[in-house]
Amino acid sequence: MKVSLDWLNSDYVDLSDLSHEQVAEKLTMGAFEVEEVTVHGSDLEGPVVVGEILEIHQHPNADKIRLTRTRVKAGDEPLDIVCGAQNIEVGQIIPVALPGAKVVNRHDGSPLPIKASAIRGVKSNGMLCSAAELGIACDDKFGEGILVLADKDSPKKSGFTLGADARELLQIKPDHIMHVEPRSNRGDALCVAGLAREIAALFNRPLKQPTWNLEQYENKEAKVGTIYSVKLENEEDCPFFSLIPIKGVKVGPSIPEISKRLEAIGVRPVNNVVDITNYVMHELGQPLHAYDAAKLSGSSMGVRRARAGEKLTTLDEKVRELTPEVMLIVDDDTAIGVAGIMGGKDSEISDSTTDIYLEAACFSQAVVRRGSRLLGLSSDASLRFERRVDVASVFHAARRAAYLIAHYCGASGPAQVGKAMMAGSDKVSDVFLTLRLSAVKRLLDIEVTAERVRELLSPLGFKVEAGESGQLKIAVPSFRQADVTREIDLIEEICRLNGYDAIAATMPKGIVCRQAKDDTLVKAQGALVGMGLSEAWCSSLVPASENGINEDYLVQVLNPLSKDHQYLRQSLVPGLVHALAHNLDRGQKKVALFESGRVYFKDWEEPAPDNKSDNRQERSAKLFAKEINRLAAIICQADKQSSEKADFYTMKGVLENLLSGLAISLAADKVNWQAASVPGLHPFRCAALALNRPPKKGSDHSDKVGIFGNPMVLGYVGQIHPSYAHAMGIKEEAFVFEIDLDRIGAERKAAKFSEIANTPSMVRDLTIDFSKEVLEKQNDINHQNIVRLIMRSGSKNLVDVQLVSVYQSEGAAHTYRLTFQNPSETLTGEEVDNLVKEVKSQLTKQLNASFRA
Amino acid sequence: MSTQDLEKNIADLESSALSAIAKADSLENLEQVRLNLLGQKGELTGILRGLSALDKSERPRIGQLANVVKVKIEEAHEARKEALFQSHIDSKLKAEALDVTAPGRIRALGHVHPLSQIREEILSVFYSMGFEVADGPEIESDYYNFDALNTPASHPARDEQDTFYTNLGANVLLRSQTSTVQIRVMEKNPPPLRIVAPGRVYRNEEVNARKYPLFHQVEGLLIDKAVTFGQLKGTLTAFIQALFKKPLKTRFRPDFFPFTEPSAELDSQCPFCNGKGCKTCGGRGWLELLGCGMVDPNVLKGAGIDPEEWSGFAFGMGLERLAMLKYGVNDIRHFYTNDLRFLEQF
Repeated sequence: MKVSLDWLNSDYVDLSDLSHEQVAEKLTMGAFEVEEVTVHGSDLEGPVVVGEILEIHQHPNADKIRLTRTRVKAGDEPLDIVCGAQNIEVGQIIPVALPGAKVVNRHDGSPLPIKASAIRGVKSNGMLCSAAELGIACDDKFGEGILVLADKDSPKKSGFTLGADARELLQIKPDHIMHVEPRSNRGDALCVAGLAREIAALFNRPLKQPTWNLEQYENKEAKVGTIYSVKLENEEDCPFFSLIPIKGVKVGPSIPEISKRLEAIGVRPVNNVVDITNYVMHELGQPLHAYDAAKLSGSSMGVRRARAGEKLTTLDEKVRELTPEVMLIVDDDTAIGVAGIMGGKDSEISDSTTDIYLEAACFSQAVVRRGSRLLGLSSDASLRFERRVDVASVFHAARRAAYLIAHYCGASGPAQVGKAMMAGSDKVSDVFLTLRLSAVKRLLDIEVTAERVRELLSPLGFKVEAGESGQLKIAVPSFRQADVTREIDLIEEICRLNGYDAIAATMPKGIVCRQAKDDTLVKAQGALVGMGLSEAWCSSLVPASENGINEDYLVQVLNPLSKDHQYLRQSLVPGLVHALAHNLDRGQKKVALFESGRVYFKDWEEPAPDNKSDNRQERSAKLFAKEINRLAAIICQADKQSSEKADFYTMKGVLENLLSGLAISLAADKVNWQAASVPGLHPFRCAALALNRPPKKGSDHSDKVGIFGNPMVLGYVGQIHPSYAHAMGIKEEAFVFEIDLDRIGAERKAAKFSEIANTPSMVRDLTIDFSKEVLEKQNDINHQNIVRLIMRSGSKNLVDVQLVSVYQSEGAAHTYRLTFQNPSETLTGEEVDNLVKEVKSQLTKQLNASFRA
Repeated sequence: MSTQDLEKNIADLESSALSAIAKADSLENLEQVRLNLLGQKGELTGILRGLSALDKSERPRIGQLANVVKVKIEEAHEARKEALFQSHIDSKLKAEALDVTAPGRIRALGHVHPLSQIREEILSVFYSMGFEVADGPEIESDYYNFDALNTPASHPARDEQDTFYTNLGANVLLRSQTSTVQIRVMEKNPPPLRIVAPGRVYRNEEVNARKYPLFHQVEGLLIDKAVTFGQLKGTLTAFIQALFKKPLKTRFRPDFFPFTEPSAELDSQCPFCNGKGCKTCGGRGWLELLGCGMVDPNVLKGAGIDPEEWSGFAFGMGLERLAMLKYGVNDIRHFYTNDLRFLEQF
């Protein structure tokens, strides 16, 4: 909302001794944030003085420019000033801008600083000013050329003192416009008078009121048009409606006193009558509407809901399709306006209007808001109704506007204001609240007396009465009855008016912290960043076409912003694939990203609970969907020459490293890898990591969906399916993993020390051959099974098995390095040979392995 | 051989041996010299062996003489060996000279997302002040998102134009603020309470440089006996000073939120210009950083806490806003595009 400081100052509260910065600062710190202050009108900087032209000479170097000698102070030597205007004559009194002044560039309105300078080789010590250069050329009455204050022989000439401030003389004073952020709960302050009340209270100054008297223009007998009553469909939609007939109006040009103020706050003047309805709306916060009485034909005007399919052309000449959620103003039954939002085209006043009806009403905040949203139409009026207008003040505003219309817009003499028609009630009952001074002390830690409370609250219209010991009885004014309903609301007002700054900053006592911060995520970030992956944050709102979506458990947004933000994701992988494609498109070669975030599934255990339940424990225990914390990563190396490879085993290594860093045991007796099938991944390059036994806790995370449907699965690793990659424009092989962070968190183990053996260890390399026939026959020959068999058959003295190489030609040859150690005694070569022999025999027996001589 | 000859031989051997040792110019030569003298078939070894043929009376004297020479030779050999070894090391080291200004061989580290970084900084400060980290669902009911937060049924924020609703029921939405966690925590745990809750929130807003349909907040709540507005000021001022590591001034400006009363916007003296006015703060010297206020008695009551016995304050801040200010990021979409050229700057 824009508010003119000049308007406030001349009509409502004397601020003449304060700068606009002081007023803005006070308002900002008093809950009405001033976002900016703009200058309206000329912002001249001095010195601009009254001067007299003593001589005029031709400029030696230019035809159209002349050289004057102008006196700017009685008794002083006249100054040489060059002037290009043609209307100057010796003896004229004119405004002169001296060096250091800032006037207006008449070509573009920008500030024009005046300096002593040479113009075509002749020194000029200032500038003779035109009206435009003084910023007062808003109408043409000053004409072209230099503004002549008095001609040579004018009798007025003696009234001017040379050297006097021309700005003061011409009353050139800029107005400052404060842009105040409207407060959703403070409709009462969305106008000059309301804001003035706040300012008066904040500065502790008296509030003024403009004086006017409607009675002089009232004529109960004045009859206008055909309407003789007003009626309401229901008083919830519209608690109060008033219509004032005004007879003998001449619609004409804007009234300068009115339009000047409207222009200052950015409201376009329309005509004298409409300007007044706008003026009063900005002054008192009450939207008003003037109808041309001749364009209405019913006997009554009223308010009702629109019927489905009903149409109306609004003032902006758009045809509006209406629904029963929209409230209408009707002429008998004919729609003539959308109540509280915008009037209709057909009953608009025009040049030929002579009689009008002036409507002022109070409409339901919720209905106006809903209607405004539905129609996609908001106006200064709807903005105010949405924030609540005070029903008790409606008629006052109507009378104010009627007065101004009668006063300024009469066809011959003042117009006549007829008897108002009203429906509903504008009576508001008193609301009293009790304020305990002890409660102020308890929350704000400040001591206030009853007297202080009265001092603070009275200027805002509250009536403070003494109550029983330490308690005050406070009457809330009608315009604050929506936002001040409890003691705490009064405490807030006291806090605000007394100043937030007046409360000393202290620290709370005691320390409460029941539980240490979970470090799983921070540890994981550290490990992954250490391995060269960067963290991504992807959108959790995804398109329906996203890979791997399970429709049955999908959480859908019913009112999405766009198709791209329609569903909640069920996997982190698609977001990372998008990010990969984005980066490859922009020329990145190596892309390594990870993300930790939630995935969402419709709850398969129970329907959405009724959250209105009164049992807090029960209510807060219930969730509406499964929200599961996952961690996923993607890597891709587009540069084939690079030494940093990125293949399936790179990604698997990153995952294994990460899990080790999180203290998850990857020992064969704890977890296993198994070939897995995951939508969107390569069918033969994907493995799931699963616990060997069901988890003790966290089993409630069983997603039921996809690979995580198995509660033992911690995560998977694999290659993006070539056709998925192709669809995403990714030409390279890309690898991903995704793990369930909640399950991982539950499996993390605290480190535990085991004794370090001092006996020497012995190492044997073992190459195991599998023939082509064996490989074809047996599909259980893989690393994990080989290692497990070796470990099982190598006794407890076999402490480590590492894969050294795999060589594949006709058959396959796996070389493993076996480490033997007995912590309590040194093993002999013979003992180790026997252990290796047993390993070999088991491998031969169970996996049909053979060994070279 | 006569005793005299033998003595002469020993003397000759001493001088020739010392000269040979001195002349040896490599460890290999020196070793050869040593073998020639002291090895199995070495000259001195031969002489020492020949002592047995001497007269018993002469043997000790000559033997001692030969031993003195042997010791001298051995000492000379050791000294020469040490010298040669040192010069060998010196030349080897010299040959190993590196261009120490050449770059290190690294495996590039990844980067933690700026929103993660700022979230951790915020949580760490509050953790040090005794606040626990709490968590809550993003898919919420209108009860937790609005009703319990004292937001009237007619409040514009409830409109579909502002809040996303879901297929899980007419009352189930994507939370538009992390304040929901306040309520869940209060319902589950008795006061006193100190929590901070980071999380993702959603608002139905067109995507542009300043807005995205999802963003992130950190919410805070402190409930105890005799909590005052002054403590709210103190705590949040301490937080701002710890976050920016500067003794910045703060100012609390009255504002309105349904779930706190009195409510305030916290302005911090701009940490980039120390309040002098710069581009970041738009010349104002102040930056609006977070919203806060005393928990509304209706909110406490709804969560089963007696507002006459307990009081508290709550606050909320946007991670994106803080990160944009802190790092000078000019477009919110950078945070979710995951362009490496962006991520690698943090």
